[in-house]
Amino acid sequence: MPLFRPRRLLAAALLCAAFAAAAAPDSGDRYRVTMTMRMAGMSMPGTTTEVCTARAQAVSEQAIPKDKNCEVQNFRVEGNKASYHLVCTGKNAMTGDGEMETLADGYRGSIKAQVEGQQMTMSYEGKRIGGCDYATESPEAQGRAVTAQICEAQLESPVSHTMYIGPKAACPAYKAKFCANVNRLTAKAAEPAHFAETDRTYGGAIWQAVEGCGSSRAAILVKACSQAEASGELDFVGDYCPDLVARHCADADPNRNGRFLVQHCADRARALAAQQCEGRGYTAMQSSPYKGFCSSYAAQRLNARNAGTQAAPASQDAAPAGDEAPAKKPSLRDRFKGLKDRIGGN
Amino acid sequence: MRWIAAVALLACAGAQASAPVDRFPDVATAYWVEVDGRPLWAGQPDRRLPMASLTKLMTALVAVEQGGLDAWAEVSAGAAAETGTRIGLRRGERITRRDLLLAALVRSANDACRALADAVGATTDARAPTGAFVARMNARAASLGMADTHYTDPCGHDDAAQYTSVRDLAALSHAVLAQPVLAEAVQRRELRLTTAAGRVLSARTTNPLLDGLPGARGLKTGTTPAAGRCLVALVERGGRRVLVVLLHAPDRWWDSVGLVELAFDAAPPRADAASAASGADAAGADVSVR
Repeated sequence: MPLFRPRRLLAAALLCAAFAAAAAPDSGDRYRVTMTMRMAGMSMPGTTTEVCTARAQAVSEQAIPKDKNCEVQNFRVEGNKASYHLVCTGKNAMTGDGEMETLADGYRGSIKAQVEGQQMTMSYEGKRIGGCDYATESPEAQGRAVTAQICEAQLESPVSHTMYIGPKAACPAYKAKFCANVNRLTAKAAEPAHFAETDRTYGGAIWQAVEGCGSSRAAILVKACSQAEASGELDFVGDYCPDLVARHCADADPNRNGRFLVQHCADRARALAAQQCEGRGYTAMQSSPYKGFCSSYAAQRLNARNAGTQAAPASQDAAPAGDEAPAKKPSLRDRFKGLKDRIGGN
Repeated sequence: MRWIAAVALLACAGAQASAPVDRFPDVATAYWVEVDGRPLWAGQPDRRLPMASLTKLMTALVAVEQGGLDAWAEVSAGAAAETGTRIGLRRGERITRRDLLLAALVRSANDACRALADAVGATTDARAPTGAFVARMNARAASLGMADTHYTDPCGHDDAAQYTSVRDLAALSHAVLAQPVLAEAVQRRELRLTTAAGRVLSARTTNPLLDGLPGARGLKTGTTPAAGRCLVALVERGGRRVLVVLLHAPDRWWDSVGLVELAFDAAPPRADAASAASGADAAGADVSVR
């Protein structure tokens, strides 16, 4: 999977997107733009970037930093100065007033805005440092390149399906490639082990991607359940195919399907445990064919023993140093085992 | 903004995941269960309790960090007279520190453990090697942040001033597993040692989980009258690791098996998959700002 550095890429994308400029066929002016922001008495460190803009008058609507949800209103030019009103909608809604002026070698300006009841002032200054090829270096061109980079980077990540599929997809042009990858990842999902591994690794997101790409989780699962039944992978049946569970309780192999029996076939599990597990020491079970079943049963028994327990946060209190008396009074079983421990002591 | 919220949510989830709950209070006086290094369940995690032969995990760690495992060590009178589980070393016999280490970890042999501690301790203080070694054990415990641990004996004999907590044992286990020599030693089922004189000693592990539990990788058993039955168990399956620490656990084998199975079932999604998902969410949100 390609290495993905969303924060770096997104920072670049946002900086590029902030400067919309008029289109020009060939060349442009390269500005070094420094932007500072002040809000609620706090200043953010200035950020500097180089921007290629269309060769045009520096004081223009196009040079105002804003995102796509913002509209410049009442733009007025007087001599080498301009003023305007800015209205932004959507998640970052705000209104503000701005001004800007042409300098000998660039421009500068500021916007004062109300954001969530707080006064914010953003100042910017662009200094021309040379020419540039607007066709390839413009914010729009660079933004497109960054978008393409991000869209490419996540193609193999099925959890990113909302980037490629649906009405709000940011990379709709990449849907076919994304779905090809999803199909490749799920090509073997009809095999129970692959289905379970895919499910564990990606959770529900992979199946949303599958559905978004025109396939069906239910259809894949029917095949996987059928294979699991045929090959006796009853743990899978128990986990994913509830309708098929009952028919396998009688013929499940305790050694191979211990977990299935314990979790889904209570009556048979109880009877088997009474015959093969209860009262037997773990070390005595090493060569027993019921070892696997009894291990699963141990987990179930442990759960049952503590079923009434409210899962409280683990106590943080430490006993005093040297307090080594066991908290519990030893049971008869414990005392009997203690006798054995005195002999063995490992 | 969405990616900030996602990061905040992940941070909260992480904080919750790192606070274990006491889900199985009857398994032991104190217990600790973690998955992939993140605590899942625990009871009395900071209570100071005797640790029996789990002590030898620190003994082994100090010995490995000292180095010189292929150096010969002479079995002292004190080592040869050690009680409890032994491998049968004789006074004056010479055997490598590496073999002593294996016997101490695999068979929990007190004679090998003491001989190892004395050999390493003698490099600091030849007149009181055992005491010098114990001082190093305590220093190492302090450096690992084991605030509820104190050693007075290198092999785990009961002593009022020798105690640890399950949280500290989990930290110690991580340090042990970070040493490849120890990570390999704790999963051995059998050992066969040869003294300098050519006498061959063999023994089997004290940990039956290594034979019976799929994915078992160690680590150490311990039993004394004061400590009861103790265990540090590590099991790896499908790239995931469950660590179980039990102090004074009446039914340590079946209950550790049960805890391991339940921990794998309860394991949250792997961190790598979760971070991939969150990273994608962030990208999905912010790329559309354009």
